[in-house]
Amino acid sequence: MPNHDYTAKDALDLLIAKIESASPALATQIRAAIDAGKDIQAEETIIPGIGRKPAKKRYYRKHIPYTDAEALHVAISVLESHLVESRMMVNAAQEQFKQVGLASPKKLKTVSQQSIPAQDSLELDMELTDEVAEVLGLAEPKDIAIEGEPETVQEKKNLPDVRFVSVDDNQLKTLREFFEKLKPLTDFKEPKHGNAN
Amino acid sequence: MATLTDLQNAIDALLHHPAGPGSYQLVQPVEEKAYEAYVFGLCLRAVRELGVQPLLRGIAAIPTPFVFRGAPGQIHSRYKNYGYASFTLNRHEFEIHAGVEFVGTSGMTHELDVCIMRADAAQECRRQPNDPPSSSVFGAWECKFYDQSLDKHLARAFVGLVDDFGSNLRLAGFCSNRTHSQMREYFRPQRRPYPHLLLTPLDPTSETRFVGVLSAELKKMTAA
Repeated sequence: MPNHDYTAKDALDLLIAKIESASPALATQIRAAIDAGKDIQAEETIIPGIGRKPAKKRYYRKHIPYTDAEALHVAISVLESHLVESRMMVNAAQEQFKQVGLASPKKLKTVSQQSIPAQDSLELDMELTDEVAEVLGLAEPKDIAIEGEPETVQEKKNLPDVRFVSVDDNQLKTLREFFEKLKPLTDFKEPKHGNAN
Repeated sequence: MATLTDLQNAIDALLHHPAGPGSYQLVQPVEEKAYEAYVFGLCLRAVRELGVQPLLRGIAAIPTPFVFRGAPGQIHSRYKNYGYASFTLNRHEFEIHAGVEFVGTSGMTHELDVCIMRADAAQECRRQPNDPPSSSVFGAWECKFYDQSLDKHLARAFVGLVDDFGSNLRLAGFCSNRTHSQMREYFRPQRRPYPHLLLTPLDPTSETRFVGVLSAELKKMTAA
């Protein structure tokens, strides 16, 4: 007996249309993940000529599209990756960095570097030694950033670095709960029929 | 029986959540780099679990902010105050880096998403600008954040890279929040990287496994 009064296709179309209106980029990611399809092990029966050996089976791998029910599962999983998992990663990294101190260099050693291009933006004549005068910021949150514009970009646009911003753990918790509520509504797996005895 | 209205309400609740899709800006390269930062953080945890306090450093000054490279780069680059970590274990000095290029045994250069290397080699390459040799690397990790099943070519490429790093490499791991049905088998032969598949904050057991493997190997290597 079906658990829903709608089909997997109805649910998939509704989900993607709603996501599209909130975040077209996420909707594109979801479609790409669905269109990547899946691998299955296909089976082929080889029937020999009359009076020869019995029929044989051979197996081979094959790419096929997802069913609507599977595509729905993929869509939810992509959403969860970006909205929950990526934020949890940032929070987890920040938690680990928090527990580590920042090293203050005890002294700087002069070095000569003739071959450094003139465009380099930092002081060129200093090198940190491994001696540490004091440790700063232990047990304090750290400012972590991803470089916005790598060194090799030819025409620089002065893009800012991207700072890590934590998402409140309670917000993530409620978001995960919303995903948990959505999952049974998008689950079209056939219930298993076993012998009750 | 669930109705289409139930589904609609559940999707709307998700969409209107303060941390839902409306507040989310998809920047894929940043997510990928954030995964490297996450694995870097697990390396810090592994070191701390050995009773050692690692330190965050920058190439030119105290790292505020701690900057991860946006693309593979050279260890001696002073384009920005790129961050790294240093620690000493049983009088062996190491550094943890992200996105740094090394010279393989063939002479070809390779980027490591996250690695632990000998500090003396890193310091030498900052003093006399050069790419560090692969023989200076203790542990290397490829980090892939995916929102779908992994591409097989990623595993093949990392196996090739590890092969070019020579026998000094004690630990190599392929880390991803996702998996691929054939990858575990592919990584099974000896000398192939350890498959840290489904390594994600959603699965604390996988994090504990990563930390355990790394701290055990560090302990073994520095005990000798």
